[in-house]
Amino acid sequence: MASFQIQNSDVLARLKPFGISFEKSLHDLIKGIRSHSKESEESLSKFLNDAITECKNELLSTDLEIKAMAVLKLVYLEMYGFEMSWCNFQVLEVMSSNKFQQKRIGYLAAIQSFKNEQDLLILATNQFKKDLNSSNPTEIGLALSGIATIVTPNLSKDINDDVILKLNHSKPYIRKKAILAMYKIFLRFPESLKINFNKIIEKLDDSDTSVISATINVICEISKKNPNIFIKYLPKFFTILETTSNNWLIIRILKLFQSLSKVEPRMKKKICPTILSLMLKTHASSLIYECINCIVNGNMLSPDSSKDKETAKICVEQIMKFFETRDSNLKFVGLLSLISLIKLFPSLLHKVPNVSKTLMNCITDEDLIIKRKALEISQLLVTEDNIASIVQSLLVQLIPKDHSLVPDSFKLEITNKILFIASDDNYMNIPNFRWYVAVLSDLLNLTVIPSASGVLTSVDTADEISSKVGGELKILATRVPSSRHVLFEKIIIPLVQDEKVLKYCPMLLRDIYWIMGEYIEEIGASVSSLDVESPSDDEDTQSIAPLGRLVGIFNALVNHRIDTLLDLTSSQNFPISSLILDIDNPDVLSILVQALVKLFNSIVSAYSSLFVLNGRIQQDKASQLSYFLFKLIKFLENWERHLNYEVQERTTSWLEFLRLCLEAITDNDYSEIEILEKREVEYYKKLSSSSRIENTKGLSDETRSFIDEDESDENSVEEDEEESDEESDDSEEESEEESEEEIDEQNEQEGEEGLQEHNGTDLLEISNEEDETGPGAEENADFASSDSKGLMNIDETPISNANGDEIAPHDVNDISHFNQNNEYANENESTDFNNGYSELPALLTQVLPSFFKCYNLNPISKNAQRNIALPEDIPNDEIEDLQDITDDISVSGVEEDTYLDLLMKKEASYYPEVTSFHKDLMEGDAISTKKQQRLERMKYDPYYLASDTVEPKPNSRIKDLFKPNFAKSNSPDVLSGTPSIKSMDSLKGLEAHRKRKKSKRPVKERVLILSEETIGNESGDPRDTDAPSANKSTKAKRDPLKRGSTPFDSFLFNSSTDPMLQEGESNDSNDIDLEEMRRKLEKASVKKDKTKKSSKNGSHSKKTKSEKTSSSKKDKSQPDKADTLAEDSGVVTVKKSKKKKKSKAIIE
Amino acid sequence: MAIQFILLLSRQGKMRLSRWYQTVSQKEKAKITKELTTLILSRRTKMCSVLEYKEIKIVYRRYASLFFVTGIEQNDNELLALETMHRFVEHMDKHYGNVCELDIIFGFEQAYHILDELILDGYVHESSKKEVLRRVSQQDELENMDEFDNILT
Repeated sequence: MASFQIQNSDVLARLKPFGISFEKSLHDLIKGIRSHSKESEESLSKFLNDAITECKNELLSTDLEIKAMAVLKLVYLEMYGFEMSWCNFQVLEVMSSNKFQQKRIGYLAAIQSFKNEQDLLILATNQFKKDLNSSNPTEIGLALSGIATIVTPNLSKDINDDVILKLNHSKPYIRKKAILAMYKIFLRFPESLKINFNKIIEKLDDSDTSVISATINVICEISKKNPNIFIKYLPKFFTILETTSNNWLIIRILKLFQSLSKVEPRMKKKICPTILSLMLKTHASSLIYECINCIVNGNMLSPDSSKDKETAKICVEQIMKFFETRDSNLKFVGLLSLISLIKLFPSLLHKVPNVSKTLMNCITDEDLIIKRKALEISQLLVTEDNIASIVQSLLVQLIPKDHSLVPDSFKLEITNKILFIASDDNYMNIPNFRWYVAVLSDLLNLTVIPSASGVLTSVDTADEISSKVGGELKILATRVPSSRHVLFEKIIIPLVQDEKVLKYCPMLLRDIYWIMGEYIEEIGASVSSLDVESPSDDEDTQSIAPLGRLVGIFNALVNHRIDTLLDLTSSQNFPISSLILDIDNPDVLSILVQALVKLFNSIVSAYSSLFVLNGRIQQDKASQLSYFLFKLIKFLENWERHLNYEVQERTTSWLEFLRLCLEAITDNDYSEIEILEKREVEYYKKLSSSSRIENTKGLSDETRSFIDEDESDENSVEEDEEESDEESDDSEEESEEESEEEIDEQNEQEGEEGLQEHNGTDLLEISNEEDETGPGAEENADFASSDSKGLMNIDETPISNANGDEIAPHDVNDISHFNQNNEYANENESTDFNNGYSELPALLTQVLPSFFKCYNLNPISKNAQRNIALPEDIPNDEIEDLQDITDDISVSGVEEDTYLDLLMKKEASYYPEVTSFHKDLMEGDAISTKKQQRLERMKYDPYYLASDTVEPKPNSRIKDLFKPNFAKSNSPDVLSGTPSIKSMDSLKGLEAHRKRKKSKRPVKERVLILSEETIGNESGDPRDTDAPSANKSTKAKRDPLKRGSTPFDSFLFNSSTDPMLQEGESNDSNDIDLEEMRRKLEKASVKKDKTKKSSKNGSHSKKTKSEKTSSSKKDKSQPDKADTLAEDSGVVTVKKSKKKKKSKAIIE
Repeated sequence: MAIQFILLLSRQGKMRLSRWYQTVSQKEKAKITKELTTLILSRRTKMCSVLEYKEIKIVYRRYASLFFVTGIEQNDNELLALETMHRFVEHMDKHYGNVCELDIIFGFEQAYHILDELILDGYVHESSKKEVLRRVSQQDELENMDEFDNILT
């Protein structure tokens, strides 16, 4: 036979040159595709379409030869993405050919294209049966291959017996294919497994290794779903493992052990040593890898056992060999194993030599995939000693190398990792917060803020990173008081004045503005009192008075009006200010509105502390203040009609108040403001004109534009006046004029005295603004002292401006004074005779600060609000009357901002059941007394965090020590003296830090970290419980690539059960799938219900829970308070000391 | 242990061979192929050849101008997948005699036959090199017999 075949092939080889018709046709197709794809897309697609129609025609032919050829061509075309299911019937025809060649093509096509074609495969059943029972083993093999790939539930039932018979075929080739095909049948028709289980097990004793291997394969797959049924055959598997030398088989058995070990932990004792010796003996890295996988994934290691640790250590040592090979694949899989081992035994990281070094190398690997993997456990590497270097190397990963971009998702990962590493264990490992702030600043620069050559991060990622880092900054600012100053110097102030932030990551500003507004005193703190900075570092900032910087920032933010007055569209003096107007994120804007008012407030308080003597302020200062106020109002007016409700609401309510202030401070006399504004505008006009290169031509243009702008300027001012005039007396202007003349005389007398004084203060201001604050500061210098540059313009304008009615004479007066001394002019306006001094209205000095300065803002845990049970003594009507409550609060002056409204509303809607329940109970109760009690409570409870057990945190900020008048409204705690201790502490810490600064490594400083206020167990948060269940439901969707072996999930193997009974249960595996799905869905919904219920009951159960946890957290020094809910609020934890160097825990 | 699919991609991103062991619609196939092609072609030679893609792992290896790409399950052995692909290449090399991309293009059905003798429904069922080739040539002989009959008639 064999010799005949050889002869045949010889004959064929000789015949080939003559060409066998159909082979040529396939070659033509392939060649055609190749040549056409070189030409163009269209010609290729045309060619392909032609080819398909040609195939269709050929399929109509009765000649099986041509049909087979067409099918083969279609198989080729299928690779190009053409559907070929339409010719399934023809494929079936070709399969049924008597000629092996055609049959082979048919099967190939079927394997490639058949997808659960139920109807079609009914037709195919007979064909399969015929082929399975063929006398030619090759044909049987072909049929088995086909069955294994395309079997359907119906087909599997029909064909089951025939395949079972093949398990005992004389040829191992058929046996092994049959057993693999059986697995497929089991999947579709699980009943078969019950009946034929023993026949499969028998195959473990087959004489042929490949059959055993295939059997193990099948068992391994089934055991993934149902390992229990194979436990008793463990000894058999074990013998196979010990006797065979076939690595493929060994790896399969190890895989099997992995699943078995999960349900039979006892086997570990016997198997583990064998696996270890196997691992040490072999040279095949795939086997070593599989051994480790088996040990780790088979749950053979428990973190507590020292023996297991020894095993893990051996594994780690083996893995380290992978890294030595420099093969990146070995490196990757080694890393995978290493990660899983290290997760179990973190101590191995430092015990086995080179492990941490290797991990670090992986983090800096150029392959992003390896980098990412290593990043996963990078936090375990971190110790107090290496955190700086690790974080630095993480940051370095953000720098693009060799023109390869850093993907956005990776930026996000690094950001998350750094934040996680740093904040881990309550900032345990941070050496000092200066360093950390610098890291955050670098992080921002490397991710969201593009450098000159940098590439933009996509908007979504930028937003995400921004809010992550912003949140961290916020946490730092609230929880680490000593870091606030550095935070301001290094991040807040630079970023507020950075155009790029506005352009690329406005989200960041939400937090930046918030911090700026909330802790604006930090600017002042650095100079006025807290002179603790190391002199080498911040020399310049030290000499700068806070007011100048405040004004600088303020101007940079709100001075857009100046640019519009100057009609500048490009090269604006205040780009920040105009960009701010472009922000469309309402979150940012609503914070910004608040922050601007806070900023203004701090300017007011700076003025009043610097210039107020005996409750009076120099008139010029007062008018400067009123000018600031005017600018702020003008700027805020941009949002008065903002589309977002929150923004509009905040803006209008502030505007209302600020306008009142303006009225109070100016007495409806805006001339001072006009002068100041004019001067400022002039200054910038000068500034821009001096930067122009053209001289003569430019000048004439300038003068023309001067006039234009002055007119428009005046018009706008006039309008303002008209508005206010309606409200106030018309006669005032006249009286003003009169008084002016009087004052002129008076000024001359007074001039000299004032001169000296003012010069002193002005100098102070000018010196501030030299370096840092840029145009804004210069501007400030200008109108405060009117330097010689500014004078020239100021001289000119009033003359060209003479058409102004009552302003004109006044301006003329001014000029003369300007020439002598600018300060004269400013005092012209003073309406009383008290040596140019006036009182600031209480609206500014008392009411405005009181909005912001009652309590220090305490860090409150993110979810704390959700855990608060609604106090049981609040009757339902009150909740409905929420508006009332909030009104009360704002009147009593303790409200922080409008957030409270939202919070309280949220809270109310959160517990509707509870409240309605209480309604029944509470009906008829004396509501008025309740209200009284509530008011009593609210007095000390600005955030309404919990019931009256909450003690508001004392104000620890230094400024309060200097401003006792603000402390009046504070809670009595302030008097207890704790804050001073605290601040002393931070002082000490900083001092200690300064001493150690010389050493190169960032030294651990003693830092006070406020703990977050929280109530109860965070995990009780309904959000948390919701999330996983949601995940589950999405997971229920099957991945198209996932193998469908679900039938075994529920498959309880019990050979004694009556197969007939079982049959009825699971007639069709499709049904089973459906049933399974239903059950899963049911489970999921039950779970959801449960979580819902628990969240409903949350208010009660959580309360008890939280009591437990809070008492466990409780510090021993305060056992008496153990039962209060919000106890944590008062607890201030400082890093616990490991070494003596480190700080000690200080608990308030 | 199951291999989800095997793809052969040329360096230009052209499909040379594709075998899916899962039921995946043509549309999805095209999507996965496209995504994988861009992913794999963008990686440099020194980088590791395991990718995590959706729920599965992608293991690829480059032989001359061809990328051999397989998708395996999450907890499968990547090194074994590499080994399997290497086997496949070895078999083809023996069968075609110093295999090159053109051999696979024009003799794609042969390549499929070899693959079928090595892997059945995603499982490597024959670890012996000789056996696989013996089976393939046996089948080829059978085909030739048909051919011979054809000519004689």
